[in-house]
Amino acid sequence: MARQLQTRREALKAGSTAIAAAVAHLAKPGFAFPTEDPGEELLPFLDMPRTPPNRLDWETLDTWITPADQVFSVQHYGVPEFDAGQAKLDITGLVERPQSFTLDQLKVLPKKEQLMTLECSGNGSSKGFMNAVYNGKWIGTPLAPILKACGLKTGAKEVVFFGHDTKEETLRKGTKRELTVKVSFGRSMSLEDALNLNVLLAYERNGEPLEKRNGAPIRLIVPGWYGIANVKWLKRIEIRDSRYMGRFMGRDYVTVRGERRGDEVVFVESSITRMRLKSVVARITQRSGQDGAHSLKAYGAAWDDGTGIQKVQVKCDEGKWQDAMLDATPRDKFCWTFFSIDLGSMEPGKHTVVSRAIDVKGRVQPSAQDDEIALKKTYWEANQQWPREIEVSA
Amino acid sequence: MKSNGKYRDSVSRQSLPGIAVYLFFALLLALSTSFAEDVSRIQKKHVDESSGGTDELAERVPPPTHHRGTGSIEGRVVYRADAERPWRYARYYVKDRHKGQLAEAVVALETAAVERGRSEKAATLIIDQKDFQFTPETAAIRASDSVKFLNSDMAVHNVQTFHPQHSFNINMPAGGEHVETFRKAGGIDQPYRIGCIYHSAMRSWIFVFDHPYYQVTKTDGRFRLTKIPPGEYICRMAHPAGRLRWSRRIKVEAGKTTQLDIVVSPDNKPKKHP
Repeated sequence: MARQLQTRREALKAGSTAIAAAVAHLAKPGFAFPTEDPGEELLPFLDMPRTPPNRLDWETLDTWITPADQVFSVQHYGVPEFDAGQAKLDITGLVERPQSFTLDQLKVLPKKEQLMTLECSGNGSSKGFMNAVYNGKWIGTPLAPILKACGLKTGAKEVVFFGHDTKEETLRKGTKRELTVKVSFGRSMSLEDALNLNVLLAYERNGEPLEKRNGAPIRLIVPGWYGIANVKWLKRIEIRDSRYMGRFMGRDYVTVRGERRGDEVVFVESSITRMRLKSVVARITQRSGQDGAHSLKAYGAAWDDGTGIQKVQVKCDEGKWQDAMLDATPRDKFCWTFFSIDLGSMEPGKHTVVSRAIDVKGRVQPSAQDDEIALKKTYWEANQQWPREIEVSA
Repeated sequence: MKSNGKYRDSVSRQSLPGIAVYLFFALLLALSTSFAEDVSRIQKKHVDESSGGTDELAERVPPPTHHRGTGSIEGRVVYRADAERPWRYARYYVKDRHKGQLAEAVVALETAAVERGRSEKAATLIIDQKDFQFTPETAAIRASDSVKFLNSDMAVHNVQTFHPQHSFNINMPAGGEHVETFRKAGGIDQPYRIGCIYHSAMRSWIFVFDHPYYQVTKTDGRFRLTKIPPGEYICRMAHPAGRLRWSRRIKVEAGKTTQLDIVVSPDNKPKKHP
């Protein structure tokens, strides 16, 4: 593993562009078995489920551009069937000049590349859902100039993004006021955010057209926001004068979290938007020395909403937090940062290794016992520290 | 662990009056208890071997003594890695990359042989939902056998399958259990793919056969099919997690054990995802 990482680092330093080097690395995976490096072997995490396809395989993480076979996809209304070749993206609502774009028309507009780590907001909620995160280079055209060109009318406040995917939603189920309506998947953000967050209408990832399961032909990319905001199979963008409160803004993907106000705990409901500061130990390896002692090393990744990772610390059992080494590249605003740390030797037996990220504002990734997590009553935004258990053999 | 229905019924009848009736039911109890112990022993074996592959109801298959003019096939399944086509998840199934013994491979005969049909002595296999995965992940049973699904996690799980022969969809509260009987065989081509609706990463495959000539390899990659009537068969291997397939025509002779090593590589993957 160390050799693979070193090779990657050398490639990144030596290459004229870091992205080109990483994509080239993808073409020829550097492992036949994850433990193939002579002298260094993977210490499997205890009591963790096997990683299935289409999820990030933390224990073999060796490239910061995630291969397609480890990319997760989540859809709430199923994968829609429509003619992607004929599909148009409409921009409607409070605009002077509504517009409609085919994929080809979008492709001739100014092109932008965006590195972004994309995480499902439920990722980390349990050991069964620890790998719904990936990193990619998205290519598309910026949304803000298009919105401005449409002529935003006075009173425009909200931008709603609708997908081709639809479903019948039932409100107030089981009551006399039950109501069933067919709706499109929708998410929204303020006009201010839509104009200032480097939002992208993306049609390629890592140099390839989007996969159907990942939103082809056009999806929204909102750097630094959780996956749910990155609307797939984009069909219509609607400018409105009031807050949109569809299922995935107002009823689902809502965090209920207690906040201490003196002696009182006040519960606040908020819609899922920006990714929270997070790090995770991806894998731990063991190397045997000539004297028979084992030397351990931990590798991992940290990411946030673009605020910036200042450092990552790692703690073994009840020891002190130690600073990990952050990889020099890539250090892109919305792209995860890899870290590593030599743990030295450990006594035979079971041990716990955990990491925490600290951002440039001094915020610290919470533990499960901290109020930020302990008072969170819902599933999403599970950015708590995640202790890994290993067993060192004699 | 609860006992199965047969055992509970036999115990409740002990209170019936009359010596003859008592003796009859005492005999029945003894037989049932023996059966229940057998089932329990099999269940325990599955639990104990949860991390090392499965030995599907191996107690049914005695050592190869070649009864009544039958033959045997034994050997091992080996995976040959290819650095140009790495199998990312090989670490779960190949413990020793140099030797390559492949665990959790299903080896079975394709046969229209005499013992085709359901088992006379149905058994129960345990598949546990623990640490957010099905354990064992790959299992093989005979038609009319049952699977007792357990949920040992603190979270709510679910057990569902959509199969041409038999579908079901059961919620599993923490600590819950559900017994499902698989009456129809799908053979090696149509395993029951089991999932959890709440945790999409959880998966399991249950192969159901209408004959007794099948086995799932353990960590040593070994398999042994016994009491096979002489004749020509097609021996097939499937590894659902690795999407590996293999088959070969093979001859079984009375009183003989045919050695068969199954060597597979990425070449044994189908060109298209099933």
